[in-house]
Amino acid sequence: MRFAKYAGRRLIFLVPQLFVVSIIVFFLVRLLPGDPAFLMAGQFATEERIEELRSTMGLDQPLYDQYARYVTNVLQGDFGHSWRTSQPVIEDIKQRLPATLELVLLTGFISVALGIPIGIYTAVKKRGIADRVLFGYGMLAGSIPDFWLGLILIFVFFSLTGILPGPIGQLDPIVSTPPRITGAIALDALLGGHWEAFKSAVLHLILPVATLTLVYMTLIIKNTRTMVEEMMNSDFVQHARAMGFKRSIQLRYAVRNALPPVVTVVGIVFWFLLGGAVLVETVFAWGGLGQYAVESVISSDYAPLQAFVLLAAVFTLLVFLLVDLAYFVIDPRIKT
Amino acid sequence: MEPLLAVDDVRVSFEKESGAVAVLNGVDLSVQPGESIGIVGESGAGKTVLVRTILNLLQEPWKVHQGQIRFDGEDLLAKQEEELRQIRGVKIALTSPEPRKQLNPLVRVGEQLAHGIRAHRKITRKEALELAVEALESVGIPDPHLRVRSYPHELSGGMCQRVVIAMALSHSPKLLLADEPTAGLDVTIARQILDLMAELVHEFGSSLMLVSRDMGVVAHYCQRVAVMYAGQIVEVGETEVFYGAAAHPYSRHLLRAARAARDDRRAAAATVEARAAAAHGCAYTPRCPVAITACEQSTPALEPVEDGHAARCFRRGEVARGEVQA
Repeated sequence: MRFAKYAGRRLIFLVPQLFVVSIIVFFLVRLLPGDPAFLMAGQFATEERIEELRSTMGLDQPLYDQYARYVTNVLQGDFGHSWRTSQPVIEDIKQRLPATLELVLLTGFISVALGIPIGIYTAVKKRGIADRVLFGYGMLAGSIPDFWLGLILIFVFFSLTGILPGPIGQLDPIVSTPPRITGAIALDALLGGHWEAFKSAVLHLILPVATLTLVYMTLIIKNTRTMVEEMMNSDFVQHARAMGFKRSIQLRYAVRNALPPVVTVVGIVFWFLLGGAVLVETVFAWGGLGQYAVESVISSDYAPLQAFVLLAAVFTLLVFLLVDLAYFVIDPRIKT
Repeated sequence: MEPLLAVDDVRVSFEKESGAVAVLNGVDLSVQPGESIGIVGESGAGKTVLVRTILNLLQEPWKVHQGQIRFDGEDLLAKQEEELRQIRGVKIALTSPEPRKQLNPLVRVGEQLAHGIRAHRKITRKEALELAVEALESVGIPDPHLRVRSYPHELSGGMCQRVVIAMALSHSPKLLLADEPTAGLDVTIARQILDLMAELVHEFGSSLMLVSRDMGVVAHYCQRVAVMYAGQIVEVGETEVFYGAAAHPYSRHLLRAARAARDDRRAAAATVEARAAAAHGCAYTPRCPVAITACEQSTPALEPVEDGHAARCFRRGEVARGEVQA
């Protein structure tokens, strides 16, 4: 009950936060170089044609009028049209979001499922071979940009060895796309029992997911390791040791107390992943939201860009809300 | 009588990159079955390190260089972690200062007591929880069946110390190491805690090693007193003998400071001074009012003043008889 109240209050707080984000985004987007009317009209358009376009696009209005119209529309669920695809932004997003979520969530879950146990293991087995390997990996992952690693993986696993499919999106072109259920192709194929498509989708997922996992999982490993190690040396674990507690219970005490900061880092990783997806999707021609955002920036397409940033803000705020709620569950000392 | 615990010439250091810092410089101490012994000395004397060495808890960067600790016929320093686990909490138990920090903040105290009980007894979780309720009752916690469900932060410092004591005594240990059990508690609560501890230890026939900086507490609860200074036991004796005829100048200083503290609280603040690291000779020489040339040249051994009373001082006889003003 207390939990529901807390969660409810935190959800209400999202409204003013998103309002502020919308203002910042709106004005930041307009600071981008490039005149959208000019870009739309093309290189050889006349001055009058550009002026005409500017007026139909509403760009000749004062900024605060533009913003007021924008907010009114958004509140009614209208995020505007993309000048580039000439589709409603909401349709474009609906079409592309599942592909991105598939990438982000899959990477996130793999990073957590592997990263936390590896972190715990290396905290306990200090100075083992695993520890050295991971130290090297951590150094590398911390210094390699995700898009570059993506290119290297493509080079090794596609260009050189041909083990995995190349960066051509989510499916082989010869495989027909399974009927849309969730929009995430691998999941749709699985749910619909289209095994050919499922196999192809999974193979296409491997490299982008591996790229993001390799780059971002290290944060979870390192943080888990540090926190568990610190907790193993804490007074209460050492006291449990002094009282002859079973080794497994000592470890459980340490892990339980290391969890809150690890959960925070998991939140941060999900947040980073959205940013990482933007570039990695471009490398793999993934056709998701990240690639859509990059293309919108290049063509000064305001409406989709605003929608993307707003959506990213909602995603981020929700992730951190979940982190706070997790704290609430883990730590009895936290009262609303 | 064979002592329950015999600490023999134990030397421990703290290994830093810049070199090792000696913390215990040859500690000799024995504890008889059923006896209560007080360990007194200022901060940094090595009292807590001694307690942790007895349980063989020290990990890097701590290092035990030399010495032997025999407990109940076993050589503790030669044992592996899993063998030690069968002794810790069962035969030797520990309470530490800052009891709240000794308890896992995320686990209910009853659950923690149950973990302690099940560490050494093959019973179900439910049976262990029932024993936890009894354990809380035995340390005088009101409504124990409700309190087992409390988290440490929901209990006062005194209550937390009672929980820690309940855990320490849940396997009727032969030896209880009580490291400053009342640090941070207010005076009335401290009294209750000490009375409770003394009573339970007596009931189980356990030995008690009470580490304290409070000379009054030690005088009241212990049959023998050992004084630590700079990582050594500098004097040990029966409580009555010790308080009447302390034979080491440092013991005299402690007793005087305790008396002064009662008379005038400000006086106690003046007792802490920088400790010079003496390569040769008695570590207390720089602070000693009755030091002689010999004190700077060689270290006195822990030699008897009379039966059962020994001090590390060349002039122990004169000091004990009060012939010199130490």
